[in-house]
Amino acid sequence: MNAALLTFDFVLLAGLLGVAWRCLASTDLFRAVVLFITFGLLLAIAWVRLEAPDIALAEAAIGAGITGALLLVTLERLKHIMNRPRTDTDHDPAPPPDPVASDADAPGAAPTGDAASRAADAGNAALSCAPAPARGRWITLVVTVGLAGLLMATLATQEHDPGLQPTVAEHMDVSGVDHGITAVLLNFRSWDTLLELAMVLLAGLGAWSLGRHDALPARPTPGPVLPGAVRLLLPVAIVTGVYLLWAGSHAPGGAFQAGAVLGAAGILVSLARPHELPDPDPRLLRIGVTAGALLFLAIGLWGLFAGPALLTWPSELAYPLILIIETGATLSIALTLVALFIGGRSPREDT
Amino acid sequence: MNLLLVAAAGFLLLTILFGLIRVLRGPGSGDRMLTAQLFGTSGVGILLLLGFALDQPALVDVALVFALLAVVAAVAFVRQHGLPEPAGTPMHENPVEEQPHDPPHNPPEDTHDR
Amino acid sequence: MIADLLTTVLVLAGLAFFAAGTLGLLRFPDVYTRLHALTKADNLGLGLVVLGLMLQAEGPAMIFKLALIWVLVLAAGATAAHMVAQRTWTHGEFERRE
Repeated sequence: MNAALLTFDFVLLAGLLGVAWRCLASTDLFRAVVLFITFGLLLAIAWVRLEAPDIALAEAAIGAGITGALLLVTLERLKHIMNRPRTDTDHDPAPPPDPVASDADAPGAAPTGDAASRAADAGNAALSCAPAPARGRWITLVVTVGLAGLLMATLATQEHDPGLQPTVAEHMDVSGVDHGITAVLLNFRSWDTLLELAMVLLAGLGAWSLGRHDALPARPTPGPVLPGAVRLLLPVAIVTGVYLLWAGSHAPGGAFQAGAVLGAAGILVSLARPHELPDPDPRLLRIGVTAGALLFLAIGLWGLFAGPALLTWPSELAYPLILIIETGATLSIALTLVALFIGGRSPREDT
Repeated sequence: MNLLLVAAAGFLLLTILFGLIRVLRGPGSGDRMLTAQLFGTSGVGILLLLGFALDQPALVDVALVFALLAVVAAVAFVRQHGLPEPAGTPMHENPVEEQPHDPPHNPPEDTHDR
Repeated sequence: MIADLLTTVLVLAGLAFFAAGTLGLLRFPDVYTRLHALTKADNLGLGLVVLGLMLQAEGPAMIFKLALIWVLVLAAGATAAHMVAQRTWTHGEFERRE
């Protein structure tokens, strides 16, 4: 049994290293993207073997649902940007990211003339660049092998240390939840989680600061397969997201995993788009995107004035408070991921 | 019994790794996109087998997420990668260059569906 | 005991289908046949594995979840295969170099 698991782990490790190597060494960007998606999914299995099912869940949702879609869309946009004819050689502001309604193949945007074809050639050359010269390969190899040796020596000499696990287990009864990871993330070390939510919010704001997105008209597909599949998958995805959020109190799951699943469902809808996507009220969207961090902060401040300290909650109120925070965080994460995918602010916004 | 399940998971991992040869070799981009398929089935199989072998029911949830979302990358590939589509209204923040822009058109294969 | 035996048989049969799918993926001549091999054989293989694991599951909730996963994989796999094939049919196997 143990020997079988060890063999499994070594095969997995070899696969991870091989895929990472081929991904980095690939001169074809599309192949690199596909290999990166593969790497993420293998990594999810690796997290499972490291007995971190929470991270495996998040990695599965993000690696399968979000990274792939984001990278493929970015690649398409990149091709379009690099191939567009340059009318002026000096400062050319980057167009707003409108990946969902890409006009890459609109007939009017086709490059014409010599300058355009030269630009296209340059763009394609930049997209699939030649491998770097082999200088310094030996130094890299020596450094890598040396680092690997040091890491393995550290692993071999390190004493087994349970870390903070006993402390966490001791205080589980005041945490308000039955799952150690959620107790740490939402109670004992809630400060970290608040900052993570702020990071997600910042990423969304960064995408919004680049411009507005296009209108998102319906894109009918030939055949009923895609709309039918979306119709089947979407409700299941929503139920799964809510289930993961709810499971977080006693099993692997929680806001980040649930938000990633719901966000991926949103991305699926915006990709398939059998109908025109409704453009939500920008003000409501802003409230939704900030809700997670703001709710967290508000409850944390309430803890400072009415409870024990900043970002701590009395144990009898911990469960409902954590539930409120997690729900808000799920909503914000899902909305931010979809907003990141669509890219750019709503076209309806005034300024 | 558990040994059988772990061995089966290892076998599926090997089929994935061998399948990746097709991704590396291509030749078409559709071939490369087959990985999504590969993980949608073999990856789910690995997670389920490990979940039962190691008695970790949470892995079934991971498999559920895999099964649910493996299709997203394939749909992204199909809907984005070099697909002609009706252009949206461009709303550039600083329109310095006027792009000639034909009215939105539907490619013929996109119109006869319903 | 009988359940264990049945699980062994079902899982091994499932693995045979997975192996056939990967073999087809590697050996078949074009993208349509490869899609066909991978989608059909692997989905059937996963179905057999799921069936085998259902015999080991505790409680109806887990059995239902396993069934749900298989149905989802069937739907997702069929969709992805159809769309990749359709795209290859309309746009050709290789990327246009614009």
